[in-house]
Amino acid sequence: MKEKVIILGSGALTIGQAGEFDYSGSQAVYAFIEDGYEVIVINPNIATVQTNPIENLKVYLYPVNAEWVTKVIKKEKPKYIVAGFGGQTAINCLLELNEIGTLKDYQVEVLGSSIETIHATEDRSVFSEKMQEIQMPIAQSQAASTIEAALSIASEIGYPVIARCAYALGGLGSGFANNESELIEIMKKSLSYVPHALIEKSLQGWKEIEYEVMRDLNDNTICICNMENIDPLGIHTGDSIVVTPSLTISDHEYQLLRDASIKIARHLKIIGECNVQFALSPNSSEFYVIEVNPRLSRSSALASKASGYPIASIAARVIQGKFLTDLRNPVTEITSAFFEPSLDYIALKVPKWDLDKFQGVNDELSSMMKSIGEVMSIGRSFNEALQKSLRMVFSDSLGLFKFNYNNLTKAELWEKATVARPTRIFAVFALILKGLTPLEIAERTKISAWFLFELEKISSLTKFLISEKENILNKINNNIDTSFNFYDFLRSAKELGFSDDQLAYILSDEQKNKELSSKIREVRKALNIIPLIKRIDTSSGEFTTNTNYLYMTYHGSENDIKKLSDNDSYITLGAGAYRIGSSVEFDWACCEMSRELQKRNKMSIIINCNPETVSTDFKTSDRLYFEELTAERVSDIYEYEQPQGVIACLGGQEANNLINPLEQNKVKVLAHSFDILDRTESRVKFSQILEDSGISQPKWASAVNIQEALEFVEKVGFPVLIRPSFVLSGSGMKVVYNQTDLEACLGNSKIISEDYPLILTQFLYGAYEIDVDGVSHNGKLISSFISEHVEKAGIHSGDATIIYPARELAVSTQREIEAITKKLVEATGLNGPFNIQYLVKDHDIFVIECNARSSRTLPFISKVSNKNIISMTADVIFNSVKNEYSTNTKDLYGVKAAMFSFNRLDGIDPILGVEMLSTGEAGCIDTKIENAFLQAMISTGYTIPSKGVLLSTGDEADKFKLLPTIKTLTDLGLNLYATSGTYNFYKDRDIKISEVNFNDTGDCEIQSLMKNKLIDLVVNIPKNYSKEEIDVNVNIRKSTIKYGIPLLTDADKMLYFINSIVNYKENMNLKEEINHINGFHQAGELNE
Amino acid sequence: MTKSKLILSNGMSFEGDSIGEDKDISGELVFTTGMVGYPQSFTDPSYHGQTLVFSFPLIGNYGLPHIDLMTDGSHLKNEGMESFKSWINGVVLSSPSSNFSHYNYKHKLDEWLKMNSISGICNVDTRELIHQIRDNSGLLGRIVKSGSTENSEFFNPHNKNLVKEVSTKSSMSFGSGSKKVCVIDFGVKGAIINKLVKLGCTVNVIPWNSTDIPKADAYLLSNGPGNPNLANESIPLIKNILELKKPTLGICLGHQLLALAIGANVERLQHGHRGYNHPVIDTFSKRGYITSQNHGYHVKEDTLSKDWQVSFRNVNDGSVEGIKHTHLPFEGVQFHPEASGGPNDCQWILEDFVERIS
Repeated sequence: MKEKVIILGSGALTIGQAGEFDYSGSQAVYAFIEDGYEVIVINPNIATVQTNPIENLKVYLYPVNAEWVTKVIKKEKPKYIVAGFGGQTAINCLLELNEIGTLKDYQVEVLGSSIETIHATEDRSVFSEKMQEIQMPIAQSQAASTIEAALSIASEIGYPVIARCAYALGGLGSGFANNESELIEIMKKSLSYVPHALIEKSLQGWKEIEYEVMRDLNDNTICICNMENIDPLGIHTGDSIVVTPSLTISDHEYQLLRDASIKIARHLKIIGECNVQFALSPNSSEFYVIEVNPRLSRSSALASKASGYPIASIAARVIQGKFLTDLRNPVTEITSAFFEPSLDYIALKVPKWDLDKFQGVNDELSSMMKSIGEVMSIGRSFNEALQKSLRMVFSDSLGLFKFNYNNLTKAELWEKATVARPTRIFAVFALILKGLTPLEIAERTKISAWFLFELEKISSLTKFLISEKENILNKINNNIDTSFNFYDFLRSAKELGFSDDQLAYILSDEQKNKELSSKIREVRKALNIIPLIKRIDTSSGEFTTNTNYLYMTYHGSENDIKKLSDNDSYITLGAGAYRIGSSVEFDWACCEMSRELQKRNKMSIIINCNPETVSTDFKTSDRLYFEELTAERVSDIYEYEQPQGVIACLGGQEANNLINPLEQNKVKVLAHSFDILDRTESRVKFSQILEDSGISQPKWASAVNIQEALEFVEKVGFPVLIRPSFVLSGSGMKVVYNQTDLEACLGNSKIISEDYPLILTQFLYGAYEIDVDGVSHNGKLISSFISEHVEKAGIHSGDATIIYPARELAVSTQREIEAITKKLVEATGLNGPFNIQYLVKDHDIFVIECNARSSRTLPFISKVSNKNIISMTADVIFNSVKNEYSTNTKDLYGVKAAMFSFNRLDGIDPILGVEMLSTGEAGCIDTKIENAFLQAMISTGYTIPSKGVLLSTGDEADKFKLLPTIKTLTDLGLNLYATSGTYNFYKDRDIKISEVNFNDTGDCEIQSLMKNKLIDLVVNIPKNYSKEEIDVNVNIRKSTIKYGIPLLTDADKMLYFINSIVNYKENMNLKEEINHINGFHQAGELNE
Repeated sequence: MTKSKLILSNGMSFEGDSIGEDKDISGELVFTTGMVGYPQSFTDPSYHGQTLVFSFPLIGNYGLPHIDLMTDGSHLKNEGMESFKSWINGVVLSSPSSNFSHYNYKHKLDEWLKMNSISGICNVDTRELIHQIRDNSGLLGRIVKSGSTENSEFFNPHNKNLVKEVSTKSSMSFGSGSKKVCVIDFGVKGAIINKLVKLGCTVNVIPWNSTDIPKADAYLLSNGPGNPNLANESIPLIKNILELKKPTLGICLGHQLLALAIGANVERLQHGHRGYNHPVIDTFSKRGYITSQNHGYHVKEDTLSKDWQVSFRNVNDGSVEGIKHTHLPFEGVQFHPEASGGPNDCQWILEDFVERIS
């Protein structure tokens, strides 16, 4: 009998807890299975690799909280539980399980750091005590209620100090003091606001350095690597640009902090992995411990990818009780896992922010993390890595030259360089280009001067390019020799990380000068200036290895590898940084494809640059190129490896966007070609195809001036969906409900012009939204899967709640949609996976969009239907399509709900609309829709209300529709509250409801009910989405974020939710009927 | 930058740019995989006669320390200085830093190399070069700068007694602690002296070929450069020290000479261990330690007499990393417990050594 172990997942992706836990979580699963355990995973994140049900693994798609995990423990009776691989969610769940007695009652043993150790890192006062026991300095704050007390604290801890006013909004009255007189001034102010201020040592401008530590039960302890934040202390490490290894500290400081990390890990009795963060003075070797994470983290995923050391995999073995000295290093295979990787390159992480997508959110960076993804670049110089990373993070070959700050004044640039925002690095670079010295900039930004000296090299070359522009162009275009050594110049440009597109841009002043760029590429190749391929081997070449983990550099003269000999390799392009709309679901597709290729005895090559992913685990493919997703780099790899082709249709829009430039570089792209892609992406062409095929679409027009826009609206009436083509961030879509809003929109000159027409589409209010995922082979449909949205049209499909298989949609309509799908697939010639979105209104079916690529819903559909769409895609690529693919689904429902990170986004209105706002998703399954629905809701942060519900239920129609549900709420014993309109409606219909008022000051009835936790669900459905209506309740919605109360803004979602709560309460005492994915599928087969 | 060439004794060559002193040099090519600690490597006497290749591509980021060109030990207070000067004869780099930022360091890399008359070559594919060194034991190299003849001889430091060149010519004393430790200087690193002083010792450093043994509570045979078999002139001295039955610790070359003195053999490794990440295991406690290493020879286990045990072993290749006498207070470690650069995990060996002084 195998021993059973439960591994807790991290649930839906949010800001601060993203794909890295799929990487570490799946490594842990594989390690335990390989070591002979039966593994049980609890994680509702259906799009992850960790939740693929493989042999010896049971996957429970349930919320990671004590209630649901206890149910699984009751059923499975595991011997062990592991929480270190599921982020803070799993840690919190473990603490809860311990508190309610589940661990004791069912005798489940915790593997890894103990509950006590976790407590010591979580509870600040215990932590402080523990650190004092080993003389580790931590920055402590002490309260002062008089000026004298503040001065005495300050003299004890030393200046500079920061005085913080506790509970004061927006840091009112807080400030830094460098000496006594400054502190006196600040304290005078502070004490006028609050009774006491907290005095703390100011570490502003200090270096932030992290170490990754691993410790086993024999006390063997190693530091896998360290990391240096380029942004000084004060910005969350998740929002900082980070380099591995540290570059500006000496051996003395490196070892000082390493010794401290090890001492801390030992004293806290860490078993497995932990991360220790330090603040280090830039002027001495003084340091403070900031915090310790007793688990795998974002940093540990980065450290794994940066160093090559598979931390999670080794940690999973260490917590079983194995000693590091007995384990092998899986990269070299000949050396021990007990060692510290040596890097002969640097790795740079740059966060991916998507703040433009969130209206009203302050984009200043601080100690609260705001980024939603990241990239990592590898190079043999800082500039090579930096330029790569900026191309990766903006999915744009211009990288450091993406933002042109030439026209800004020095003062404006200083503001952008000193107040950290996502584009700070561009302002810093612009200052250097303007001639400011690295030392001046270092002084004001507190960025270590060394990094700025490096940037100066890029600036010098840029200036040289501009001054020698004509000579260089003459050399490139007409092969006229330059007065300087052209080879040396071009070589150093590439070593400094310039892309061909960047060089072309600087030389021609034209952002995307494809012609010049390809000429540069030709000239460069003729001079044999091509990037070399190097291995990441954890030992800097000290040992001979065969590792398949690769990167490219211009700093070199030899390749580490030889091309795969049998000519039977395939390149799959990853999805790059996670962002709104492109996340773990695309990585899942890439990993599945790699597996499919290997199953077919093909060599699988992956190119991707996101360190959080499973696709960049070197075990996923035969060769992993941790590289840029730019046409230049993919072509470099293609030309070297000479594969059978490139699979671009699985890496989301980023990979799809490369199909055109790759085909221009004579790269063979498999599945959809650019021709096919163009037919679905070009609005005009696609519309024509629909028309020619007799398929309905909402009326639309492209307007180049206000007059044309108004004419269209006149014709179709409100509401209309508008979509500007001039878009900085890919956003700006809006539904316009009335003349006032339309005029307000058109008033913005950027939104409509000859160059950037405005797309207007008739908005089918109240229509059902349907998704069809499927696969097609040369225009012949081979499978399709229909799912429906719970919300009516108007909510972005990425934010909508999706049910598969469709259940409210009439069977006849489903047949009709299948027929249209078939027709459309044929007309466009689709050749691979696709996703088509339909609207159904009054029995009319409209096509609104067709994506010739893998979709967000693909892993969800694959797992619920138990039909792998990627496997079918591989059949298409290998021309081995079977005659028939069964798509009939068992008696099983899947519900996919969106996860939002509103609590991280200060200032946002948490209302859903046509622009996607969610950062993650959960997918749950059950034979009963209500069960699946409730689990998905709880997995995305909803709780079952037990006190009171605040209602605002939209227009008259919605109010009537919800009447029975509102009645149910009172039956459930909940107190109902509403403002006058909603109150009057329900009061008149004999519903027991209280009228409450609202204002923004915080002392209104609603705010006080929220504060006192008497409201635990807010339903706030707008009558329509006009600006006027949205503005009415915006502050009530914002209050829900402040008080952490679940919010529903859609009537249909509310109906489902309340129904599933009723179902839950009715069946609470029945026998538990939870099951794992394969359990459900097997039961379904038995019933057939 | 002027072009330079690195020619290897196996016939290969690498193109690069000149850095440091403008002169041709030749030496044994060795590489270190440490990612920090380049000032320590430059000034470690154990590297005498060697051309040092850094696997880490960025060297010079945090600058280099102030130099006291004095042999009186005044360099010991400068962080990063393991001796009063640099001993490597050449350096091979990938991407050196032209500027630095660090509160405690004073000089730019190129400037410092020139001040120390070290010739170097940069913009070399050091990873490829390391593959060559790894696969060709004892590879020699020659840095040739423009205008030089290309067929001069390769210098092989293994044929030369390098200890003679690095060891102090006269005795020196450091610290004022109550415990008296005598260090036999085969090329001692400053960190060994500093750490003993910190542990409360008075340290008396004597030349490698002293004929008389000063009175002390304990004896330390230091690290040093080159082939231990060529330093055999000091074997009688070591034998005499062992006669005293006082606590005795050999470090690196000192450990190898200790082995020779007790009749064991020392052999060349296929390629040396040079870096800060070398795992060793304590054969008694089974505990592992990450150590700082810099050696090309190792003690042959089967030549140890029965009074001696292997105390540490390399986790990767199983080679001897430490020996211990079964009942007398004699010990040798192949790695560097004083670290500098590298991890301090084995500092306890120095502490134990001092504690053994009754």
